[in-house]
Amino acid sequence: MPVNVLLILEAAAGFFVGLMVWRMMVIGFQVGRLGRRFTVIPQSEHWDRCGGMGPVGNLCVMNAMIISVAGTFLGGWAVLGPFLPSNLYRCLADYWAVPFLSQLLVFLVLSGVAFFLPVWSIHQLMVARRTMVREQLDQLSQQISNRSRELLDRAGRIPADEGERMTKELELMRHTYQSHQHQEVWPFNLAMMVKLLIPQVATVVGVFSAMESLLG
Amino acid sequence: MKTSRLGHAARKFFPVQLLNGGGRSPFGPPTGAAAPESGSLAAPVPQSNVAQAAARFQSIKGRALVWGLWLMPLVVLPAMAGMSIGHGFARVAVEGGLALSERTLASCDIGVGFQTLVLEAGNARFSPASAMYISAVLSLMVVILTAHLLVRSVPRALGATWSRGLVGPKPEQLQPDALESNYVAYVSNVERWLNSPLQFVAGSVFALLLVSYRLSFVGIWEIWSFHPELDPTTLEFCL
Repeated sequence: MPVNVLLILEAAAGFFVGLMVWRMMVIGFQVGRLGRRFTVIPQSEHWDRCGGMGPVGNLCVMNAMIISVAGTFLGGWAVLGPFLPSNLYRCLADYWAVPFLSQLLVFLVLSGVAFFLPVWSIHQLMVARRTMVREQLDQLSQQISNRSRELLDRAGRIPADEGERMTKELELMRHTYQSHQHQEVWPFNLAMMVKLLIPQVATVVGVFSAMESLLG
Repeated sequence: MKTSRLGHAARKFFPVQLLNGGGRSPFGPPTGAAAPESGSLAAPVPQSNVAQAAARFQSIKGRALVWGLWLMPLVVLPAMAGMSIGHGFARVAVEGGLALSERTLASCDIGVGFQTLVLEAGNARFSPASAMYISAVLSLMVVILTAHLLVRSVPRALGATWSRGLVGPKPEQLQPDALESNYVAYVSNVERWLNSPLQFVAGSVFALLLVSYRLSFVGIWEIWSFHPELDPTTLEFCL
């Protein structure tokens, strides 16, 4: 293919990739701004196991995953190159070892930054919320203890209806305590983390492979 | 606001109601949500403003941009990869043909010539540089398509955050009653930044980056430093 045609097509591809990269940057920045502009009220029993903040966490996971595509490309070649049958592939892998290593490290860091930086402000709000809830739970725990001791002290002397009412109250307090005991502090769950880490495997292995090519 | 035909099609494909799993806009008021510390959300807030913000939200504005951002990964990049593959096969065919003629002429035996052609075809390997180039093009394709998924999920994420009642006013906020309008302003701000003219600067920077890489690779504009002693275009160092 003539170089000038390639140049035009590559310039166009670069332009459209740039448009998407701009959007990725804006999304990352605005997710971080959400935590700075508003208070986040996580839900302790939400099904997404991240206080209901799953969709926001997912945005950051996708952002990081897009960056890791580049890492997977470079890492894939760094890892597979030496094992491919043609000698030319091995030569290419050796030839690109230095630029690949530096770029892989850049993409690895970028991927982490794209994920953690936006969610950090939300994480801090969630931690603050957990602290507040834990203070409430401390008080509730004290009430549960007092009520339980009262039941023990008055055992045998307490009227049946009053005892039943107190027991129900105690159960309600215990239930409330248990349901708020676990507070999520990150807007992502384990599944999202796995989704994020899988593409990084190729990048990390690529880093080691490129280092081995360099040292070997 | 005028909406592109593609935008309408996308909305038909992903109706707003579907995005929230119910019959309500994803930007509807929080229901059954924990009230914030200030207690300002005790009264239900009207949903009209947020619903309108949801309906208006466009992650990519402008018909040309929408078309370009879909055509690039679905047509142009596969075409680039296809052309590279075609170029590789053409080279194999030419080399195979030349070998056939050469051997046939040398041995004056068409049988030997065909034998050579079969051997050439068997040994024909795709150029590693082409394979690398094609994989790079396909990676760009994956990047743009995944970015499409990302930008499409922005209104859904912002809507779900609101409808789940996860957003509350900051304690220092002077008018906590203005939470809904603040959130609408935030959503509009996200949309405005996504479609900011600065995106074209980012696009131009990336276009320049790729062009400079290509020019540097062929030695016209040596802005990127490759291996100083080796020429990657010839791969002579491998032979």
